[in-house]
Amino acid sequence: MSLFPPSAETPVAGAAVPGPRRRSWRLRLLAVPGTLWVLLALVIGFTLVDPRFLASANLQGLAYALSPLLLVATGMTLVILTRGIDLSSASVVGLSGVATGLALHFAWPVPAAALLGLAVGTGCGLMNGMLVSVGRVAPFVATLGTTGVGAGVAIYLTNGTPVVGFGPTISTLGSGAVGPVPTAFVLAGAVFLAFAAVLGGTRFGAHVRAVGGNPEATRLAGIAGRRVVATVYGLAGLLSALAALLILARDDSAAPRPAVGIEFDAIAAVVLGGASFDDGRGSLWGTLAGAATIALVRNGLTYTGIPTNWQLPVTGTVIILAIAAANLQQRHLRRVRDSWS
Amino acid sequence: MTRLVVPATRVVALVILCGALAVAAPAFLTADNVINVLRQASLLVVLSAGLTLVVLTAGIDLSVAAVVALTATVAGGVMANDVAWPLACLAGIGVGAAAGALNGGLVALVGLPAFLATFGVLYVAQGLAQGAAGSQTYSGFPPAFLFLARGDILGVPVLILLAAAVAGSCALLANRTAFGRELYVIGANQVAARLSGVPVRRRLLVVYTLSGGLAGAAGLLFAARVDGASADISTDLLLPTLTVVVIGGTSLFGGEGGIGGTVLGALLTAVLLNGMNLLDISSSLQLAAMGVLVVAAVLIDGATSRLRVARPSQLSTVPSAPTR
Repeated sequence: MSLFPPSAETPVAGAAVPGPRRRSWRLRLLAVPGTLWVLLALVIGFTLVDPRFLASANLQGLAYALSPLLLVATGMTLVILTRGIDLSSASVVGLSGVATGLALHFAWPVPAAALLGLAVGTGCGLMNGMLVSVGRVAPFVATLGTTGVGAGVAIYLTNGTPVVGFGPTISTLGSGAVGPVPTAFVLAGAVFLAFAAVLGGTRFGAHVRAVGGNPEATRLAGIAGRRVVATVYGLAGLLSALAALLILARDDSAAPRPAVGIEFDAIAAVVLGGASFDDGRGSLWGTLAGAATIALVRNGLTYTGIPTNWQLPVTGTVIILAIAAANLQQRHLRRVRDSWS
Repeated sequence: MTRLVVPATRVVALVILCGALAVAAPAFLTADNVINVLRQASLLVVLSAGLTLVVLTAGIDLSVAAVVALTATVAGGVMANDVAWPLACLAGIGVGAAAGALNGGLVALVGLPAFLATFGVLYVAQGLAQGAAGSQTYSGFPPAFLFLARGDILGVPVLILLAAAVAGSCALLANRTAFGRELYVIGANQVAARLSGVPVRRRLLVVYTLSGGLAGAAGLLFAARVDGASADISTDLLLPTLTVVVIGGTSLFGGEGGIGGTVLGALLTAVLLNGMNLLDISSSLQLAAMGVLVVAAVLIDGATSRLRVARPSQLSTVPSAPTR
């Protein structure tokens, strides 16, 4: 039993932290700064190895690489907050990119083609959402199935080769910049901020946290948990489609499998950001730090001279170690927190 | 009696499927094709047997396909350096077991969710395979090695004998040993298992290592079958493997199913894949079909599981009474 009466600001969902609010802030921040320190260390380390790391050309490349990941990781955060997972991001990116690419190839106007891609991505996401919420299919299976369907259809539609030949509008979108900042990054940043506002400041955002934090209480409170879950997966699909548009603009082509492993990076970003899989804790700002870390690791590795062949397993191992460490830290935190109640 | 209902429906489905294919594709019932299907099913059995045991504990191993690629490239690379093939096989299985042990450690000791841990190992294994082998394909393996997947003993393909041995031993392990019983209990209710004295973490470590080791063996057999080992030998193999286990009746919720179901699932999946090939369905659409199939199988499993066994809501925190 709590020693202190619940305050008016006690959150609706998730385990309320007993004790003065001062201590709870410190606890909630404990998970994230670890990643921020790692981020800082990486930046310093890579700059020491090769000062060209901080050159504007490299930073712009970093921003380009970060943009699709940030979008996908935003959607992944929402999904993980509902105790789910989305393994289909790469395939949804591929399929919606292919849809847009084929539309552009057939001389559709750019806005219409983009809308088609977004619709395809959202549709895939909603399919995931329905399978998870109504069909009660385990999220990893549902999204794994979507991976197969998305990749299969995308490869079939393109015969395995990327779609090319778009107009000049696309390239300006892809390589344009607002001052020194690439347009793609501005777009990704704006979308990210919008979602941060939704998650933190709207009733829907509170419902998302509620579903993951305590599904039983959510149900008893009359919140339409299934609709929230389905919407969250739909949003993840929408964000993957947006990422596909960015990639299409950057590459000036639409490949059926353009971003292999992006869901792995996105999950890693979310976990590094301090989210947990089974009680709806996490924040988009943490995900931002995590995504930046992942992008930095991938980008900076090219400066260390490790042969390209080995970069994938190296980053994979680093990420697994980071996830394991974050998880152990989470459990330690939980034990400390539980010992107070 | 109810225990026989589930396999019976699979057998019926298999018969219907074979019948439909025999009509739609005359080449299906030729002796060559049937042996081909049985070989494919045997490969799937070896690959999925360990996975079945993992799923029995309400876990999952998404890395099996990547482990196949890794062990195939490791063994291929070893043999390309003129090392004796039995040593190469040992190396391959060892690598698979190591990957499995890593999975087990992440799940049992670190406490990561199984899908996440094995998903991570999937990427590391695939990355290692690509890092070690690059884009090359090892080939020209010794005939004795190829015999494992291509030869016959007294008219019966060696692959089928190997699959039968693997399936038989895993079935014995699951049904006739305390270890197997403990796996079922862990799957049905992990908390109750732990409170009953089952060394849950140790069992999970073992079962994931077994899954990795068997995936490694399967990788060797895949390489032997096509006389080639490359990093992309097992692209898109994950979905069929999951399908085999779920279609066979082993529930992803744990505590139900077994190797017998997996064998039937392997036959069904092999027939399906073969049929799609004979009907000239492009491999990309086959991939999409596998995606639909695995989801459909899990949907049906979820729906019927609530009919068969009273199971507490996965989201509830109230521990359930043991169901078996």
